[in-house]
Amino acid sequence: MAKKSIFKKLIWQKPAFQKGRKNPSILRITVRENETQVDLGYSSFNIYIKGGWIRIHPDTYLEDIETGIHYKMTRADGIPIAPTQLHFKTKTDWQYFSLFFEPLPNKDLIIHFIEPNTLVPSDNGENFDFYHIKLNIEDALEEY
Amino acid sequence: MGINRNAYLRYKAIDMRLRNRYCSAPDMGDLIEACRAAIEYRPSIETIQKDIKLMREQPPKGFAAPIKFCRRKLVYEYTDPSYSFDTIGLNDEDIEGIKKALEVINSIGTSRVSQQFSHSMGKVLSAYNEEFNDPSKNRKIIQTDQIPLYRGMDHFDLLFRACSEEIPVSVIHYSYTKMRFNVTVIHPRTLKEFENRWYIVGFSEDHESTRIFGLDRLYDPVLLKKAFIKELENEDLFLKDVYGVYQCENQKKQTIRIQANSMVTNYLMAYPLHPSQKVLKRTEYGNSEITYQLIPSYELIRLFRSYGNDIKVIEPQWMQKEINQ
Repeated sequence: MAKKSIFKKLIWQKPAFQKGRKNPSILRITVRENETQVDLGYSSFNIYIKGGWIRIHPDTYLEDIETGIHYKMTRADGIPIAPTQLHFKTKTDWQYFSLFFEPLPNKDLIIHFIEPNTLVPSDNGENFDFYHIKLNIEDALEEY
Repeated sequence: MGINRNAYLRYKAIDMRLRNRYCSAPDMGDLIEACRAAIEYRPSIETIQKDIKLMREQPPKGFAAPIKFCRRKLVYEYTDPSYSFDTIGLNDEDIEGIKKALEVINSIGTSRVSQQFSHSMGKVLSAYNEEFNDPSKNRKIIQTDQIPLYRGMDHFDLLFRACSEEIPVSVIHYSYTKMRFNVTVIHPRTLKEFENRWYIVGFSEDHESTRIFGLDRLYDPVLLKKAFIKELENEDLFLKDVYGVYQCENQKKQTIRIQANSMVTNYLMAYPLHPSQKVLKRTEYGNSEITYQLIPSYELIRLFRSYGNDIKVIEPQWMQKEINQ
């Protein structure tokens, strides 16, 4: 009989971070045995024509600041991977999307969420970065 | 004859095992094993013996199953190899009842509830059409609102389970009015439909109170291992004492008094807006004064506005002003 995993599927809602953007907002981080899911919500901007566009850099990663280990993004749901862009139709559009990364360990962590902005031509530097995201196990919810 | 679902599944399992020509005739152990696979627990020998006895009984008590026990080989078999439990017909009354129920379900359209329900009912309706299809009666008798699938309905099954098993859910919510995302834990109690739109009612940890959320604004609900919070006393505010869904802020249950002309009075008497509706007086021309005991809601105000000059709100004053604006 297969051994039952003791890995807990943990969820942090609105995890605290030191520095980062308000839009998109990090809504939820779920750490599972086989992957880590980061859910984000974006509201289109007033300053851009028809709300502008979004995309995610293919080399986006999570970094454990204690060990320096990078956890690569493996897939994205709800947002195209650059250079493809999702163009909004109005200044009042919104987009919920999830990014999936290599699995984080099941322990207290402080991580950075880094979207590089140097590798894709025409990026304007407005990358989605969040620094010092605290993932304390005692603050987490457990997935059913 | 009333039989419960488990018993029916056991009879079916016994029948299938007895008809299985690729296996030798079953003994008691084989029948128990066949039933265990069907109902996911092991029935006792006595249960199976009672089942066989009942299956042998003549209708309406039983199914006239020609089951014989071979004392020499200690196995069970059908004396009539053509017998099948599947051919047991429902009586005429059963068939009529099912046909009518299926007609109603077919008319409502299964897509407005859950995918699981829709899938199951699709199968039943196909079987029904095959069995009872009468080309001369192809005309649809009932027409209801047909609404296309809309955002959020794919969460219906999960939220239904969360309500019935009292499991808290982590949900992401987008507010159309605030134009921003939020994430909260809901302790869901009830799924509510109003004007073809579905809502979930439950205690929201973020708001620290019972709230209602449109399914169309929810993203990615996740069931949680967490103690369930019930805030029963406030549920009536969302389910019983309100017309519609969204209550006007800072308003409690109160008397709402309107004057309606004779045409609207006729409608309201035929289709009361709420169980608290009382027609206080009627004039000789058919106009009326009607009261409700309700928490004012935006849907109620919208409805009153839609009647234009045919309705006049008398009480409360603030609603009168709001509608006259």
